[in-house]
Amino acid sequence: MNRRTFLVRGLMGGGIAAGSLLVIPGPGVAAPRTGLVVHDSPRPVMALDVRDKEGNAAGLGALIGQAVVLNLWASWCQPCVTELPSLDRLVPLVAPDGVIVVALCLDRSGAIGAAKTYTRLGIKNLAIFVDHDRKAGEVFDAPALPTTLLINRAGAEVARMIGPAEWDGDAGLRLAKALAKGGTLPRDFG
Amino acid sequence: MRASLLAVVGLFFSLFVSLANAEEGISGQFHLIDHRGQSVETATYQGKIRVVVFGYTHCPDICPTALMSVAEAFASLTPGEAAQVVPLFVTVDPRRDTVAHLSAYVPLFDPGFVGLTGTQEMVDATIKAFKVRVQIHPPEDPNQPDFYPVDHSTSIFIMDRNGGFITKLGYRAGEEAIVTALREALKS
Repeated sequence: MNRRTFLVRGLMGGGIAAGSLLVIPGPGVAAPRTGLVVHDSPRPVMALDVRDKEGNAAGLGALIGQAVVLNLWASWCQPCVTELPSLDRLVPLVAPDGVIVVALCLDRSGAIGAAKTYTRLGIKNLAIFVDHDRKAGEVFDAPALPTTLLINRAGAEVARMIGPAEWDGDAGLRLAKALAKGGTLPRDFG
Repeated sequence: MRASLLAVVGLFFSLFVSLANAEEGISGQFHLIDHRGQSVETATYQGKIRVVVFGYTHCPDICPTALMSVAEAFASLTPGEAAQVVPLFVTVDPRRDTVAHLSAYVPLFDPGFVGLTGTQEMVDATIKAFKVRVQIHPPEDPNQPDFYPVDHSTSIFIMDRNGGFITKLGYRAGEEAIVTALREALKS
């Protein structure tokens, strides 16, 4: 049983655990799972106050018409930081397909903290975006990081990845390119 | 009919009492080391409402956002309210979460956050006092002895000004729910 299998089994087993979460589900509380979740039907993406590195409004609404890979990360989240370079490498690989990769930083320190992490990791392609009010977790119903939303050209969420992924690997590229085409997404990542 | 009604009421009362007794098992007592290297205990925060989250910083796959929600709730309080509240992050993995490590970690959430660690015995006693469930797994790769997962319960505990248990919230509790619970606690 590999690590991810354990996590999913643990979380779905009721009362356990995601390598850092031991969830005791209450009424109406669904435990998170890890891995790729392809939705049966597209879900609306709620509005969020997103800012660029200068503090200017950079809401996701401006990206409607393009396929978006929206990654939620924070500098205190080690799996997020480990994942960022692969998202950075994904940017030029899928730009010709019309896919925009947005890494949204949830740090309290905002653009300053994001810039420090980018410098440390040698990030070259990802722009800095920050969750101005730090509401992304709540707005996108993402109780764990990293979480990556796959948003179609109509601006609706069609899938999400919970946990880190090698985005510039074969599976990540296949997923991003399928998102760009608007076709059926692969249901497994690997 | 009346007897049946009384029996039902009695049953609900018994259930209520047994639930209340279950929560009574949370003493909330601790003796730990804070992220500045100071020895602290329950009485250190006498007079303050405590919001206590257990966790560890080396989350291997996903990291819960509960601590972030607590930080946002703390930031939403008025200065007068915030002065009466202390957010405590207690590691369940003291081997890796040293004082030095926590001192770099907790300020990322809020300068007012306190990170707590200690010897394994000190942490074990705290875990027991809060009835938190923890399971430390062996490393998956023997060549990477420092890479091991830890499973633990993720409630957000609200404790009174003496360190006694008031309530606990689920890990999905958002900023609003935490603020509401803290303001209710502040009335005491």
